[in-house]
Amino acid sequence: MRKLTYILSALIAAILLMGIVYSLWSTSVVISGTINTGTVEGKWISAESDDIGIDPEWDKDVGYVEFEGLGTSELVVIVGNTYPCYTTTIVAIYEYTGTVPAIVNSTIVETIGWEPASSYGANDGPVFLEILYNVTVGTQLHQGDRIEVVIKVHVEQCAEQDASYLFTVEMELIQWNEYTPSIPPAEITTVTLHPNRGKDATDYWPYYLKECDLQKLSSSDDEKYQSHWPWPDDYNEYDYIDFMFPSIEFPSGATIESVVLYFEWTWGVWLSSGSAIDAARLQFYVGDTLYGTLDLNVPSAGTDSTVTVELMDYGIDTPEEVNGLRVRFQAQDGRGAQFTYHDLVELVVTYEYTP
Amino acid sequence: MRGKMVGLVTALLVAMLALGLSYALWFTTLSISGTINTGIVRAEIIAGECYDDEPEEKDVSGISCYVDENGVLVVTVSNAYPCIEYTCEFNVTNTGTIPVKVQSITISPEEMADWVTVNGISVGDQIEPGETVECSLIVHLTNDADQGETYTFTVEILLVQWNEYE
Repeated sequence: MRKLTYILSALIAAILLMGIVYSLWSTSVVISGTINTGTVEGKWISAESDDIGIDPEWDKDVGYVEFEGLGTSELVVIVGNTYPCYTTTIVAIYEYTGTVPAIVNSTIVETIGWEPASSYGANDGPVFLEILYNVTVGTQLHQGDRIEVVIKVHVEQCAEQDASYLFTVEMELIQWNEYTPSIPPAEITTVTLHPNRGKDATDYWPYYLKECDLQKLSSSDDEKYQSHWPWPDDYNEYDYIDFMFPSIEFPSGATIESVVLYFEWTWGVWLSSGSAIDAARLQFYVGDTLYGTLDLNVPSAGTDSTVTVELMDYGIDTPEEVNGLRVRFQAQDGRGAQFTYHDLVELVVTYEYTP
Repeated sequence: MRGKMVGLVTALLVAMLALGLSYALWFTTLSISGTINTGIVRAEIIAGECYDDEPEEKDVSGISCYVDENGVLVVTVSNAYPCIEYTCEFNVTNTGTIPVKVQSITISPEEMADWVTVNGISVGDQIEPGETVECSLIVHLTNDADQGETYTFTVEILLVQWNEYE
């Protein structure tokens, strides 16, 4: 009897619980979608050869040209019973029927098991093939657009009898928004320059460096250019030697990778009256704008000192700045008796250019 | 005898009096009359603008949508191809009287979730009565989509009364 009571109680509890579950109120909003995709496709609609009887350029009907696959995307061309010097021109038309614009991604001609002749009549291969298109890689095609492919065939003298020379012409079309133009690799160019002009203002009257002076600056060969006059006892705006360089014809869009100055100099080859160069510096100008100053370590008298400076660190990093560069040398001598000697002034410019 | 008689009559009178008192007791009843009006859990989907990111000069595909008689938002993408983003904007409005929460967003078949996403609404979001949430459906095919094919999908956004959200 008690068991029956328990069973009834459990049943009632279950029914109550079900009632709670069913009482969860809810609603749904529904989206029903259909996606119809487009197509990238086409077909060969015509193909013709100029061999429609008498062989072109001959007077006999021997060779022939046949086509298979018209109306499909794969055209098969059979050039049969040919002989050396047989020639024919084939014109095939492909119509783009896809619903999504496509772009010509590549055109590939492959020969299967043989190498074509390098040119018409070169006889370094059994057949000379020339494939011409009225489109180029990157051309965009819309539905109904047509591609004309012209195939010129010339059987060379070295062709074997009873042989088959197979080739395929493949043009890859891809949906327009997946086409990535191939970017040619960047070209790195390094140019080494030496001064083609110079102004030595150590004397009262400025001296403009001559060709023979400039020649001395072009290599580290101990053939040195001597300052025109000894240096004064302090830096000033009147005493300097300026070195200017020929312009580089940078291609449009070139970017500078490095601008390195090599500057070799010394002083006191002929010591006099105990005087000495006690300071020297280089200044870098573009036009009249000073970009920076580099104080030089003064070597002992008669010892060559070579300074290597990355001028990009001074902000000279555009083609315009490189072409407008002027390097100024200044020194000071407490007694105003010492000359300086300049062996090498060299500018090495490296730039990158993407054609 | 006489004494017995008198006693009996007296007892009868007392009994009758007592009976009379009982009948004269006044009474009243307290009652409660109740009415329960339940709320409504209801939502509506409203079609919005449809567009894609094709440039004007290559506008070959498209997306459109409308709400049918069953309240279903019907979305159609035509001449679709990979890597174009097709967008359908829509609103979900709580037209009921009870706050609702998004219990689930289900895209079926499951693999279509690679190409279809719903923005602007997420599981757990609460929508108050009268409130509208601006949402969008994005279709973006990957390169493994087949050409000349028809793909169908369903998105169900399940809304439950706020206090039953799990």
